[in-house]
Amino acid sequence: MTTALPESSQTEIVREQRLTRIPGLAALRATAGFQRGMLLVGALLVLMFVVIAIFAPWIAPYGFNQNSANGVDFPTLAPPSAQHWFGTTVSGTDVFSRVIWGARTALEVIVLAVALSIVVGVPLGLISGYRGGWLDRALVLITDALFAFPTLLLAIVISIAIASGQSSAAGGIVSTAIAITVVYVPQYFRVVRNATVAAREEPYVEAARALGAPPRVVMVRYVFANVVQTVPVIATLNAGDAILTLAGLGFLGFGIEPSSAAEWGYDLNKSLSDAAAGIWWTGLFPGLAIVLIVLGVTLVGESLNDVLNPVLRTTKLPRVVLPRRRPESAASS
Amino acid sequence: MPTKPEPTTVDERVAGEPLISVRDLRVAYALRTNAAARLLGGSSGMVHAIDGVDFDLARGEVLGVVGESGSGKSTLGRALLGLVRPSSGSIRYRGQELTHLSESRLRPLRRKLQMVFQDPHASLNPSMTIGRAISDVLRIHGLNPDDRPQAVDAALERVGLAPASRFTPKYPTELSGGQKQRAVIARAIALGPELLVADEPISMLDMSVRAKILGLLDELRRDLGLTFVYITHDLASARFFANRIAIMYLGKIVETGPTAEIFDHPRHPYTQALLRAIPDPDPSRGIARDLPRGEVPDAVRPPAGCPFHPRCPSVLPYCGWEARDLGMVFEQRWTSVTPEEFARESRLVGNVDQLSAVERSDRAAEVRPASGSAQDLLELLEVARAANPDEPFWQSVREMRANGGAVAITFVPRVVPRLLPVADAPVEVSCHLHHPIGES
Amino acid sequence: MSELRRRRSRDDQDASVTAIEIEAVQTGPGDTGDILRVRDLRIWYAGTKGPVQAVDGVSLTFRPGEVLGLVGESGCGKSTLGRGLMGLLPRGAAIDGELVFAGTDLLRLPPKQREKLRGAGMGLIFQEPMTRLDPLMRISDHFTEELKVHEPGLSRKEARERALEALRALGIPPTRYRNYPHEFSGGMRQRIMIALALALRPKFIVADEPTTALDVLVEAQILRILADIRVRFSAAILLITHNLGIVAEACDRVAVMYAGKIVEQGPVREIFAEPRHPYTQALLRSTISLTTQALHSIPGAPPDLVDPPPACRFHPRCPHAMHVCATRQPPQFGESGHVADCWLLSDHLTVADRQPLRRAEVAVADEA
Repeated sequence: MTTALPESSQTEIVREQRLTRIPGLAALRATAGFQRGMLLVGALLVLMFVVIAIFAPWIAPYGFNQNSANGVDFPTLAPPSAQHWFGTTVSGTDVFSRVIWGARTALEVIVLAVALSIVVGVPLGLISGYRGGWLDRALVLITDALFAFPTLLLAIVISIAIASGQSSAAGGIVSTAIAITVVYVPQYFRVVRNATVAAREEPYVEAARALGAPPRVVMVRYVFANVVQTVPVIATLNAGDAILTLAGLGFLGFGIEPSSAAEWGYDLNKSLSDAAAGIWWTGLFPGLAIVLIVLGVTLVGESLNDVLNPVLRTTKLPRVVLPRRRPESAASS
Repeated sequence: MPTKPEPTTVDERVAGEPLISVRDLRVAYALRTNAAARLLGGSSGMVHAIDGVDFDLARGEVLGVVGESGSGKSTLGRALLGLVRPSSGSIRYRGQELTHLSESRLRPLRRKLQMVFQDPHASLNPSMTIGRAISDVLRIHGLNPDDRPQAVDAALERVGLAPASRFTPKYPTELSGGQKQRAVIARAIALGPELLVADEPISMLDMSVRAKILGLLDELRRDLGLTFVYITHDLASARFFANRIAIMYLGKIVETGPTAEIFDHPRHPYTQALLRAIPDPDPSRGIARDLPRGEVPDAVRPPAGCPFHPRCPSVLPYCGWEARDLGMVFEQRWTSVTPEEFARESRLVGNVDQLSAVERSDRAAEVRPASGSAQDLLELLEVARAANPDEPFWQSVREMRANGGAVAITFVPRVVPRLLPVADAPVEVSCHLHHPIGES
Repeated sequence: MSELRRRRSRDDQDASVTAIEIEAVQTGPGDTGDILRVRDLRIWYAGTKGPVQAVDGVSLTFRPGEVLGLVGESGCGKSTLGRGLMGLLPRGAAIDGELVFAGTDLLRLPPKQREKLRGAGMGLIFQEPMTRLDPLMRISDHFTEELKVHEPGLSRKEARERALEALRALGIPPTRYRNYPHEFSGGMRQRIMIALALALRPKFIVADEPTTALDVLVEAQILRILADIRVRFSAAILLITHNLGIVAEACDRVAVMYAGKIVEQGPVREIFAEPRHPYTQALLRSTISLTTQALHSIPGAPPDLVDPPPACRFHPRCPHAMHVCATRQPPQFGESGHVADCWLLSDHLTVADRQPLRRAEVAVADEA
């Protein structure tokens, strides 16, 4: 109908449309079935680990390096029991506590690494994609070269370079985070740069130039604003990969010093010799923790991608049922 | 209902300096190498989007720039606003030379020189509300933050998006095509420009909406004293809206003059063809016959002489024929020969897009056969000529000889036409039909 | 005919009707050699806010060698109609009505049989030729693939002959037979699309805005080709466009579509000389042509097809709207040549019916 709407319904419409502006919220509501299930499971897993990581001091019964309590030493390589739910390791530390503290380590490192990667990679990609020219070509060359390295190898190299000589806890976490950042910056750079190059050609960017907007304004308000939705997806998918890299570093003995923090990869390494002797609890639980968190993060990332990409989104549309014809609506011919 | 704007003759134009003055403007850009493979040997991969254009634009005038794709009309609009760097030539705005201004010196001038784009769905930032989009322009040019909301509302209401408060919080995806285009216009007029370059502003809208937007532009012209460069391929709307018309083909203006004169007495064969070809809502007019053949050629190597010559229904022997045109001649011949003949002849001639033809001068060329002897090729050419003597190409061929491994062809020397005034009207045409050789 | 009606009254569409049964359901007397007859066609498809009534009771007839122009603005449903005739429906769409092609009711055919008809019986020409041609296949491959699917009996040589014949009919030189799509200009690609459609010698062709993306001179060339085709191949053509100029020059009959319904149809000359429906009149008046002296437009905007206005869908924007227009759907008036769905043409209205409609002023904000 083309008659003017009453005021109240206008504000209703405006409010509803504002809500849908939060990226993905409207799309989330429209997801169905499998996609939605994936998203919920992933989100639940991630949430669980975040909660565990934050409240580690209250959840874990013992410290991560603690091998005695009240003057009594813990048994070494004891199977799961009432006192030690996940058993103990060869040095007498509680596996359960180590898994909990390990979650905190993982969270700290990954959050730091992802944040650093975004702060470095995204602006670089934006500037490089918008400006083009020799800067762009040079940066693309460098990041492609970094890509060519196996991630774990690169992380090891960087880790050695940074952490050589440092052994404090903060140094361990920060230097590991930096190592992971260097490895993953190219991903953010790549994605943002490509999206920028595409957005640069859009008519509204040319229009912004025609309006007299200086390059900085064009980049931030016109290009980036339309490119930013690619970042959360990359961040979540990257986080999963980064966790594996962290675990890999720990497994190989690089990265976090064992005395400064608990780390799942390190635990896995130590459990190798145990497995031969039939001791399963030292390896299973840290390994399971890694699998679950990576699974959770990947599920969230993949379903975020599907949800935000209109092409892949499976929308739930009801089947159309044609109403019965009314007698006077039939054509009289 | 808005009626046809008053015609502005040359005398009635505001006396004094023109608002915009363009002299010998050229815009060329290099092509990527993958196109170079398609070129005949020796050419550089440059596209001459604008190839020597002159005109003046007076205050309050509407210049309609009409052409098809590849004519350079869009590039012209962008060059006027500094969005594209000219390779040479001059553009003066109120006497100030624009072509060698740096980007930062040009930006403050953008207050006065604005653009309305073709695609309403793509020229608004999808992540900005309409209100933000317009106030951002004001912010960029330093308008006081307190004055901005008022200016935004004023601009929106001026273009018919009233009440403004209903539209400021909307995103572009929530508007119809016509509303979006109005928003684009609001954004362009928010700073009070003098010149508006409108690049096909209505071609992507529905028929009934076009009238509304065109009417709006006309209203704004009157009320705000705007000068327009109206770029379009739609002659009908140009006739309604523009005082003067410039017809462009492959980067050059081929005809220009007052609207009434151009439409009532089109002189250039291309203009005549355009007018004949427009689908007019008049059933008594059938589909045009006698249209120029072929299509707009590749801009990297435009045809020699007059670029329209291969397609022109009234072409003369000295308009620019060259050996390259043999490709077109053969293609046309081969649509009506038997498959055996085609097979035999194409073996002899080779790939028509890459004829081994060398232009020795403005009147002589050599063509090598792809296989077989030059004598065979010569015979084939004679057969082709005998079969279709009305093909204008043959009118320009003086002599054909087999000379060693190639056929040497001598043409009537070609003359490049220039844009010159005609005697009986304030019109300039670039065509030998109106300026026979012998005139200066 | 009675056989057909009884089948239709069943609630569910029985898609498992076999071919033999279909053959038996031929139309009886009254079949005038029309290539395609559409009666009361409805196509509704699923939208986020509810079912979109894109085509809502459309009746058309197509005769061999005739070009029917379907004209309307964006969002009126004309593209959905064109594709629906070919059986290309959007996901989740429902279709009913009568769609009889050369004696066979297409809506009762199982999908496989329908597919066979597409291409061979019916051809489709799209708007953007580049996006419809496979960039990795040569033109020759396009033809051989098409002919292999629809006419497997042809030898390679015969297939090539057919292809070259179609291309030649469209002025494409045989030198270009082995080129790739990107080596052609827009106009040439459109000719190739038409040639591809013609190579199968279809009886019915749907051309959906075939010239919208092309330049004026090329557009004229393509229109001339379409005009020649219908004479040479005696195909029926449905030309979908928003440009009344094209309709005037290239079509024999025209149907004007608004909000999912055909509001007027008839011979082109009559419709242009004497348009009867107010929408047709407004459309003609608002078209900008070389002789336009003043600009006219239609106030308001086309309606939302999810919740269209009741009764006559044009009544909110019609300058002559009466009381009855908002309450009852107008039937068709006029002789079989030129008909329009408008109450203004009725002789049997009461005084109350004829009361002019008091519409709220169309807010400027609701303008398109």
